[in-house]
Amino acid sequence: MTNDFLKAFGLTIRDQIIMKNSVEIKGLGTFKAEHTSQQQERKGDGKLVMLPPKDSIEFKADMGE
Amino acid sequence: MLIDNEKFIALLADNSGIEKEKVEKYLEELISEMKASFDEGEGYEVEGFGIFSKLGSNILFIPSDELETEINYKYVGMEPIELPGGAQQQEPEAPEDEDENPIQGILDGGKIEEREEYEDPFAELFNEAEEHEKAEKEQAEKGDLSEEEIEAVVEEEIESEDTEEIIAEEPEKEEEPEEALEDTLKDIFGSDETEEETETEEPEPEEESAPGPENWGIDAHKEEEQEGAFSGLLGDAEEEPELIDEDDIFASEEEINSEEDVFEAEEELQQEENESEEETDEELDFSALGDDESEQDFDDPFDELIEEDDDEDFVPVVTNVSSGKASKKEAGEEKTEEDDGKTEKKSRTLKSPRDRKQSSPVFLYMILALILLGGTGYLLAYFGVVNIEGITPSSASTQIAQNSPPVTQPESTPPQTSEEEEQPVKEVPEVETSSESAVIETEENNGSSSNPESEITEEETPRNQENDIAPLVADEKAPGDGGIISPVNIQAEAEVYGLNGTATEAGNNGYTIVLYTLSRKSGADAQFEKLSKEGFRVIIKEKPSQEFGALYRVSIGQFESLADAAVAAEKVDSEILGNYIITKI
Repeated sequence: MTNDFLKAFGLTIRDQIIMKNSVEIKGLGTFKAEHTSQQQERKGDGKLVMLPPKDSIEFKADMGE
Repeated sequence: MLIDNEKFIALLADNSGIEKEKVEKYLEELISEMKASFDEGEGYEVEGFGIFSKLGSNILFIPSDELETEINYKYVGMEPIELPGGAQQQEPEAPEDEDENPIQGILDGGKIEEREEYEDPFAELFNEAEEHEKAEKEQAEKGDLSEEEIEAVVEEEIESEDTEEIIAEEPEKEEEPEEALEDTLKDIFGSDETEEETETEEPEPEEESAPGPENWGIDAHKEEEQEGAFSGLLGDAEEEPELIDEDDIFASEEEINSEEDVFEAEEELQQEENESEEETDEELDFSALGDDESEQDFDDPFDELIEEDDDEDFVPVVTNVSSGKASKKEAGEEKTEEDDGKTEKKSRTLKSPRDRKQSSPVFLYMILALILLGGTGYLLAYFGVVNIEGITPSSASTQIAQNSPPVTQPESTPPQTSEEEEQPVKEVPEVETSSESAVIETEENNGSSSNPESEITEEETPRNQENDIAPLVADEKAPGDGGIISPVNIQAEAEVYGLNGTATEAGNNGYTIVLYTLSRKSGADAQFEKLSKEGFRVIIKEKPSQEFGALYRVSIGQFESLADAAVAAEKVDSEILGNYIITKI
């Protein structure tokens, strides 16, 4: 296992996530892109805040199974 | 689309340039490494990607910051925005800006900022109007809605996103004919009066019924019909016309302008515009003006009384409005009071910059006056009208003359003292020479001096005599003469400051180059003699020391300034100089 491999591993998953694809890795789990659209949130002090949209990466393990 | 294990391995092989088999192998290795670290209770970090860690039976993946950013590149720079309508009691304002600005911005040109400022009351009043109508409708339907219920309704409206649109659109539908015309007029005239006008537009639904149909334009009649629907509810609103007088309106216009003279120039323009509007488009614009002024007008009497409370009333807009059970008139009054509060507030805040402008010149004048005073003082001193030490050019020399004790030749020539006392005043250069010699001379004859001025220096000089070399010089030069110094000596010691020659008393206020600090007087004396032979002006000063008792500081030269001393020191042979320091005598 080389550094190149680890780098490529990260980049490949990242690229697929950016393309909204989910990536399944046998024995490890599935990476999935999650989009949170912008939303309003009222804070504790009564201020209304508009949160920007956000993409996040979600990981679901299938290791233990 | 799902990238399964095979596809992933293919992609990975492409990206890394590693063979497929190897990739598979590496991947298995990676997973087994992860498992190993999980078994040890540790997380596993793939650099630049994230951290896998086991929590219970589940594996968590925490993406690294880099990965997070890269995934979110589309939304880079988007920060959470605090919405203006977020504050608890305030209605959303954003829709107003969106709706109004595109047109207003173009037509008003540079007035966009002002527009935005004025949007606040506008937005609130929009909502107020709408809420009122809704509340009224509900009241009409249900009859006995409690205040709380209405409030709840209002708040729901405010909080739901859709209200923004409703708020923006509904009132326009209702007030379309008049508002549209007014808006266009405003825009055409680039009116800055939006503050007042926008405020007043909203209360219209309640107040338009006030002046009665004869005062209103055709458009107002249309609204009248609309208002008619609420006439039952608005019942007491018809009392309002009593308070509104056309004359008062126009009279108050000036008052208002004079009160709010912040925008003096602008408002004068508006006034003119308004007047022209009244003449030409009376029917259209009058309503707005009428409202505008009537509001201000019939509030004037209350203004002074309520002024202070207004600021407090101003904030809870929603509660004021939604407590819709209160009679229409009261509500109207409250609103207008609020409005006044706003205008007052604004005018107050807006006045402040003007006040600042006014106050600044006072400071400027004071500073100018100070500068002038200082300048004249300096000039007076410089030209000798006033004698200020350090400024008046002659003061330095005269000072010396004053400080220098009168030259007295004690036993032999007493009258000479008077001559020499007069000399300093007349001829400055000579004074210096004579005073120098006088310094030395007076050391001997202090007892006989009767001049009170000289006593001060005479008291000092004997003390110096013991410590300094200057006295020693005098002692040596005139040991047998009883302190009388020959004219030759006077010539030789002409210079107060210098490296060579003999030390002068007057030069003791300057700087000297210290060569040695010796613990024995004999050693110091030896150095003194040696250096004196070299032609230096040598000074030995006794310095009390806690460690060594007394130290004798041997230094050469007397210099007016540190710089002079430094320059002189450079010229001195370095063998003589050694490690020297320059210090005050």
